[in-house]
Amino acid sequence: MKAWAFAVVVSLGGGVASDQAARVAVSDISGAAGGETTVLITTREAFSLPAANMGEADRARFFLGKSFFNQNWIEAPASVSSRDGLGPLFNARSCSACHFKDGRSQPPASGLAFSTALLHISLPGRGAHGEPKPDLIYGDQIQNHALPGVPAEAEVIVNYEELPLKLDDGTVSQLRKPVYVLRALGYGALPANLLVSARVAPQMIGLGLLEAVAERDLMLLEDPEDENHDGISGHLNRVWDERQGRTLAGRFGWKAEQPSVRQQAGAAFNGDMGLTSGLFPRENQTQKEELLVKRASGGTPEVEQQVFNAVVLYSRSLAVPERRFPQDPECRAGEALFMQAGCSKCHVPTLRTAEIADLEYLGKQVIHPYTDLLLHDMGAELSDERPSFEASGSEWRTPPLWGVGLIPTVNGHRFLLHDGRARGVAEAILWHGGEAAVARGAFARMSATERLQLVRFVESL
Amino acid sequence: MRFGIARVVTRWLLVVAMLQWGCQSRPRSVESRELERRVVTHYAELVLATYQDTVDAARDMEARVEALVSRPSELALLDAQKAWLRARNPYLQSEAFRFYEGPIDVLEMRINAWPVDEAYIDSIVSNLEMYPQLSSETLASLNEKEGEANISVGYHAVEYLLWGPDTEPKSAGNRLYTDFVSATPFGKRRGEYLRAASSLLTRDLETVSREWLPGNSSNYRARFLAQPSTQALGKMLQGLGQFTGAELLGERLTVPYQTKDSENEQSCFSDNTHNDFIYDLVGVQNVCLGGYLPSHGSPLKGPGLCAWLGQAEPRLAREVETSIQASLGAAHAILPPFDQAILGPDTAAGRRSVRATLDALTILRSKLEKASSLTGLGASAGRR
Repeated sequence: MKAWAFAVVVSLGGGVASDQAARVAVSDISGAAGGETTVLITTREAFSLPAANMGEADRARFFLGKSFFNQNWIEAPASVSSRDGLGPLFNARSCSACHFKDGRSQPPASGLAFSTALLHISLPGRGAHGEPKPDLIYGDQIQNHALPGVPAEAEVIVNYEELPLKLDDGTVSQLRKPVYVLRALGYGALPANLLVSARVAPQMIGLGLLEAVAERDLMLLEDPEDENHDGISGHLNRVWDERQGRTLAGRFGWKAEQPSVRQQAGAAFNGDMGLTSGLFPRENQTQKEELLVKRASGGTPEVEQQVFNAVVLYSRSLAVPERRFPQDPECRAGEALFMQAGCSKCHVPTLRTAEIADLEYLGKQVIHPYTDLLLHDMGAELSDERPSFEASGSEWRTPPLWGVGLIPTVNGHRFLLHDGRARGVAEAILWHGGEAAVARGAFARMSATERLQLVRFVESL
Repeated sequence: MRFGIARVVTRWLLVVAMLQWGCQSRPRSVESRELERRVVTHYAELVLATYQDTVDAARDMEARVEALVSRPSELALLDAQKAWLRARNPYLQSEAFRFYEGPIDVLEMRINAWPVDEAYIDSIVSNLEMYPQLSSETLASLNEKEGEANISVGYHAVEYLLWGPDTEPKSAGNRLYTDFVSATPFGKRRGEYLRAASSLLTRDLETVSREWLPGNSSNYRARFLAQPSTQALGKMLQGLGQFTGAELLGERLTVPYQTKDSENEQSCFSDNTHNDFIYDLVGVQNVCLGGYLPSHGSPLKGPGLCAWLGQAEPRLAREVETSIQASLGAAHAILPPFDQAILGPDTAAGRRSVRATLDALTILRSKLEKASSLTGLGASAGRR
């Protein structure tokens, strides 16, 4: 009990430490995960609604953004110039291809090719700002689609190795480890020392809230040298901000490689769909590919500024759904176990958003994202051995847990972790290593009933 | 800091209190509970009647599609188009039953998904290699694959096949019956596609309708009526709120009004979008007032949601009723075709007519939200 009360206090920046405050926090954590932005809808539309406290004018822009988020982009030139410019190389025709219903994508089954997941690639070393060093021909991600008449870069095939794992009570749990194969290379051989990292698309809820947490609050959670000796040594990623031309705290992406929703959106338009924007005015081809492929542009930029802004507003304002069955006794037992096992040291239950100038409704909210947005060493088993800015191969950003229990409702699957290897909450926990090895060990030592309770709690978020 | 937490807690206690009020604790008179019961039971009747008409009209359309595909002619095409337009009217009224995980929400993406990317449908029609057989199952498996615009089935896929792309500014799509004759490249395939899509649509609507039939202890209607009445009323209210706010006002009106792009109107191929608004709002009115005008037989009449709301909040109930009427009036005044009405300066007559509907619906949404927050039920658009 004490451990998690501590986490709550830390996340609020100190100042509340009495038992009374701890009790207050219990009922608080029970429901309004996104503060006043929270929506009470927990259906298939749970990830697709605007922040509940949004005003009329922003609602109009929200729905404009939504239409561009869902629609297919097409080859240029086309009669509808507001949505042309796709490719020539791309992973998807729309944002919703991977963030279906604003939710989470899944990896293919064993032996099949990627369709809504993607593979980052790079060479050993770093780029000018600390980013992964792109391959000279293929760049920093495999685009598995291309316009007619243009070779796609490659097909990415996944194969899973089953790994039986014995828990302390004798239960044998099956984990599966992905191995990636690149096939049908469109632009020649890849170097032998290529680094790869697979990613699924996460749910889009509450991004503007996470962006609105003051950097100082996150820095208070940092403990890179583990000076409090709790075994946890999280730190912020420090990444390049394209617009400001300087290094900022990373918040978004599986290794927190992006400093803002705006840059994340721009990078996705560019890298995943082959669309230029004010922020990323160049196509996603490398110079060598440009020599091989020339295609009509869909305008300069292809994503017009008004459209881009609307999609960013949309992405920042998707509401967090309320937590389900908070009063369920199993769930409450699971919550206590979650805290006792130390999960909440990184999956921090409560943060506060600062006052912000635009989208003021996202500001000054008490939120329950269950993340600290920090990088943590997750151990060798989860390492992709592909560093990105200040994140090492084994370091990953604590992903928010809000909405995790609704992924089956919205997206019809239970795949978790950056590459979707875990087939549910329990497997995801069992993959935790490194700093999280102690918490994982605690979970493995629990009785079957306790494990179910903990999973039920996570699925209530 | 303490203040912040206290505020959150107060809000939570309030929500919990309201939920309990809605569920059980507040003592309600026998008459009041009786009225709740009658509103919910009558709603089930109204839903069933609407779906039965929807199924009948879809079957009629399927028969006319069959006639067109087996013997393409100009008359057969016109006949099928008219059947599609007729089939829309009851379905649109049924949209007020969406958004609370009812039977329609399971299949809606196969029934009424839009906006259709016509290139996706054409690519399936022309891809003999990957899809040698265009069966209903094949088409269903391709629906919304890799993106929400990759729509292969439902009313709007059928609409595209019957009308073709909306290239003419002043009129609907200009499909020729010869597009279905075997001498035309992919003509036979297009016909096969149309037949399979139309058949799947009828089957899916039958599935939804069956869930509302009486006398079946294991279908949705039985579960709907077995739950506490306040819970059922909450669902009705939630559905109306989300349909009016996010769907009608947000996606169907605001987006085309802002973008002036016909790609963002619901029924762009047939230019029937103005009727979409009218019949959708008639559906909202049906739920609130408890009436339905079936295709055959006498009008259905009984206590609607407003009768229940009027007990505790008579003024708000009247406001809901008035704002539905105002929205309907405004929707009737939209100058068709809708894709022309959204063009030009804001002072243009067409845009003014769309703007007026938008404003009326904004008021309606806020009234429904107020109903949700006052009763603690429904959570229409999620506001607390």
